[in-house]
Amino acid sequence: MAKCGPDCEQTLREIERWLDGELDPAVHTEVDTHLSACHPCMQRVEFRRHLKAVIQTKCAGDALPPDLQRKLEGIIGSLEASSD
Amino acid sequence: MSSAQEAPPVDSKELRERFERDVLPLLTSLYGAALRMTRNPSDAEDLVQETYLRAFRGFAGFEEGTNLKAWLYRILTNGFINTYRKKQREPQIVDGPDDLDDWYLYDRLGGRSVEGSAEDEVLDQIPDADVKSALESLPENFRLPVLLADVEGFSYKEIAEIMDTPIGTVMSRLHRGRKALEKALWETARERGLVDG
Repeated sequence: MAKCGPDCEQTLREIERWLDGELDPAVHTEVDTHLSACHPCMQRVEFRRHLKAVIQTKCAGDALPPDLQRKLEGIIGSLEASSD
Repeated sequence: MSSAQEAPPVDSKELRERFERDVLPLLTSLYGAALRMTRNPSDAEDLVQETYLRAFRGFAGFEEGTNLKAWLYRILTNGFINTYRKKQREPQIVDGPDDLDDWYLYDRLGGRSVEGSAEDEVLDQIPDADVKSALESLPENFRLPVLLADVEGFSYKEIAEIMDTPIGTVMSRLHRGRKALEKALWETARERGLVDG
């Protein structure tokens, strides 16, 4: 397989912000173009994308304790009752 | 009401209904974030309750149609920093991992997974609780940006506003926090026997 072109280094430096959707549109497009032609860089991107998804999925999903939910739902009513 | 700068009077019943309609659905994710911040269910419950009350008291000043989730997370983050950080006496670590490679985890996982499973599969096999612990192991300055960006999906600008921190600082801490998290995940994967080495 051909080696990455000379802009791999540059592309990989931008990957974090590219995945975060934080690059200027013109730079974002440059990264798109490079990735569509560069399998090694794309593999790295796919890994990072998967890592982000794993972190999001595995760090979320804690259920709200039912006691807390009940407490919060009642709290405003009790505030208003005490101020009436 | 003589000053034009004062908020117009708002019907309190309407305000309360709007508050409950819009805020209650966000409480589960607020609680999850509070857990990752305080690392303790009891403190997380207190923090969410405090956030909810502060938000209700300030809700008349919240401009409808603007970013409610970011507004709530700002209250949550302020509450955490002002109350629980002091209580937990965690030193505010400003320095962090600086010398980790940009591709720390990718380079290590490549070809070293057990039974030839792909890098992605190693990540999938790390138990949820271990990923949470890895995130919670990061110093607060790095944990908060990673939590807000990667778990909650906020933009750099939103994180800068939530943390009241310049955007350049957010980007730098996010980058370094992610590296530190990769290192923690690598250590977890090794301890779990998911990788050789």
